[in-house]
Amino acid sequence: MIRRHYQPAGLFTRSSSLLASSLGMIAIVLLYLPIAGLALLSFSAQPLRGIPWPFTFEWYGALVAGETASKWISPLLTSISIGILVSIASTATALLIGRAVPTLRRSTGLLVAYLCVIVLPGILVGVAVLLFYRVLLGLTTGFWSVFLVHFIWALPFSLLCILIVTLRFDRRLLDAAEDLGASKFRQFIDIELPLLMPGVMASLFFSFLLSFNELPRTLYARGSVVTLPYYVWTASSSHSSQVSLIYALSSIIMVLSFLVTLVAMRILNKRE
Amino acid sequence: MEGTPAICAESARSPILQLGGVWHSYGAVTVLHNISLHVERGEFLTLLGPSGSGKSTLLRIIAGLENPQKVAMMLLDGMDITWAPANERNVSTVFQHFALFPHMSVGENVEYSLKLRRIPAPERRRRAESMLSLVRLTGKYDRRIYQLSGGERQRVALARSLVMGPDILLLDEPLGALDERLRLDMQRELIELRRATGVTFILVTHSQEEAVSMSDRIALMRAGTIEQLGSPNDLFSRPQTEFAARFMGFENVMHGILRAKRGDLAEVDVGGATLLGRMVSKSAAMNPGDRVFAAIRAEHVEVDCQRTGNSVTAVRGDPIYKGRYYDIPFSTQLGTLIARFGELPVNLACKTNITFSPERCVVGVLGPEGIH
Repeated sequence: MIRRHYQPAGLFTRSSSLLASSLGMIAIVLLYLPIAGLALLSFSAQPLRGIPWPFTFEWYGALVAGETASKWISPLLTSISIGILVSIASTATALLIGRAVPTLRRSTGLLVAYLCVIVLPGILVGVAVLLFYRVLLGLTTGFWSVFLVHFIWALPFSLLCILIVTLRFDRRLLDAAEDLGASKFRQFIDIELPLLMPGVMASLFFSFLLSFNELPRTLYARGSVVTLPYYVWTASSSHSSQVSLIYALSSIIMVLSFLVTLVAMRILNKRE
Repeated sequence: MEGTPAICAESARSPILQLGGVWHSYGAVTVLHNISLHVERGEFLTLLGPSGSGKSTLLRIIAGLENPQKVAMMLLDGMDITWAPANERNVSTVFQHFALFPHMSVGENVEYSLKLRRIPAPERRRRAESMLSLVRLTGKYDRRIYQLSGGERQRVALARSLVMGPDILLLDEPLGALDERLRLDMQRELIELRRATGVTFILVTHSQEEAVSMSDRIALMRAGTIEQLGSPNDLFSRPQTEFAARFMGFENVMHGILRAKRGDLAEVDVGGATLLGRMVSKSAAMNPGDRVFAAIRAEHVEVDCQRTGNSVTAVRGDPIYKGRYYDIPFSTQLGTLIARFGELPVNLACKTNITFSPERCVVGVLGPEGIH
């Protein structure tokens, strides 16, 4: 990767850059402090009191113990499988749309229609999908209805990732490939796909995370399916014995998400 | 093979490319009007013309990257390629912006066409290396594209197109993206490359200087038609039309009426003065009373020479310095004539006499568009 060092210019003087980065630091602290606190409390014997003392591994032990484990492992697997399916489906769809957009004469309206989904409130989309598909079309709620709402949710983000690379893609390269003897299929595999890969990877990654963390839409579409966010939400909002476990479980998910992000950034950077 | 010398001789004589009746349009705009063109084996043909003359479209049609709307004949090496897609035609293109694949190394770029033809890796590598050395890029096999200079990218594009052994190499303004010095070097290299490979070259350019110095033949294009087809010398010294004369760099073009024909020479009335010039349009096509153009290059206009020929009194204007020479405009009865001097003439009177030889002055009939 080539890094450039820019001189401050315009509004971005040396002191305003300093101010900006300090504000950024404050935001990061505000974000990570509660998360660090949560991680700390996951080792506390009585996390609900908010005092991280005395230390214990009790909750981590309970998590992997047979009876409790069965309660969260199944939601985790559900969330991972829906996440992977959503990730593949929305990336593939976004790739189809994103390749077509640069060739369309008037694409602004179409793009607005796709991207508006981002600003619609999640609860509203969940209720609407539930009412329309279940009540009017008779769709049964369950795994595939959750997949559907997650797909609707993830698609505009995937599309953004893909559009960044397809709009920059130089279509003259396809002329060159065809001229050298490449069929349409080989043009796509040899030239287009490798050059779109950074966007494809970003789309796969973001759509997975969006699905994996989704709650408001899932609430209405889930039927009897329990996803991990739903499980964490119910367990932490009821005053059950599960609450203490949630601290430990959330910490594990957090560490894993962090590792996945790290790997994804590595891959994305290497592609450039 | 030994049984077919007659056929070989026949195919050696037949043109590598035969185009007949090619029409094409973008929406309501017709960009090619009934183009017919034969290209000989091993020839260096240039499609010359201003932007919008249809030369690049014609090249894309030959490559198969665009389909003409109507076509009577399209034969490559005697085979009908009218409906063959680009990837099935044995021609290859060097694009104006090179269109190198940025995610592949130099070697992978050059080998791509061989890879598509399922040629084994060692053979591919050998041919790519030898092609790279032909374009003077020995040892650059593993380089990335972004590490190369403009001139090197140009040569990778040439190697990539030539490695598959095309029947015709199409060059779409390949020197346009290079700076001046590099452009001159590449002109020479292209000529040598054509000689070394024996491949037929078709070059598209808007630079008459490029066309004249590289081609065997030039097709001058204008608004979707071939205005004039001939050797560089034909076009350079005997432009058939006013458009051709202006495009080939005749600085002085006058309109007048043909008064009389004397053998090869024509007597033309321009603004009341009479000048003599050599007829370039067929003599039979020209009749006294016709509207004609007369054109003379600035370097053939001289001051105060006691020579026979056309001579007019002139008032000198301010010289324009052009680096290698000076251009001086003169107001005359024939209109403003530009004369070219290597050195600024000393003691040049304000009012003087300028002359030019009838042999150097070309006279041809005006097309309908030249008559106002």
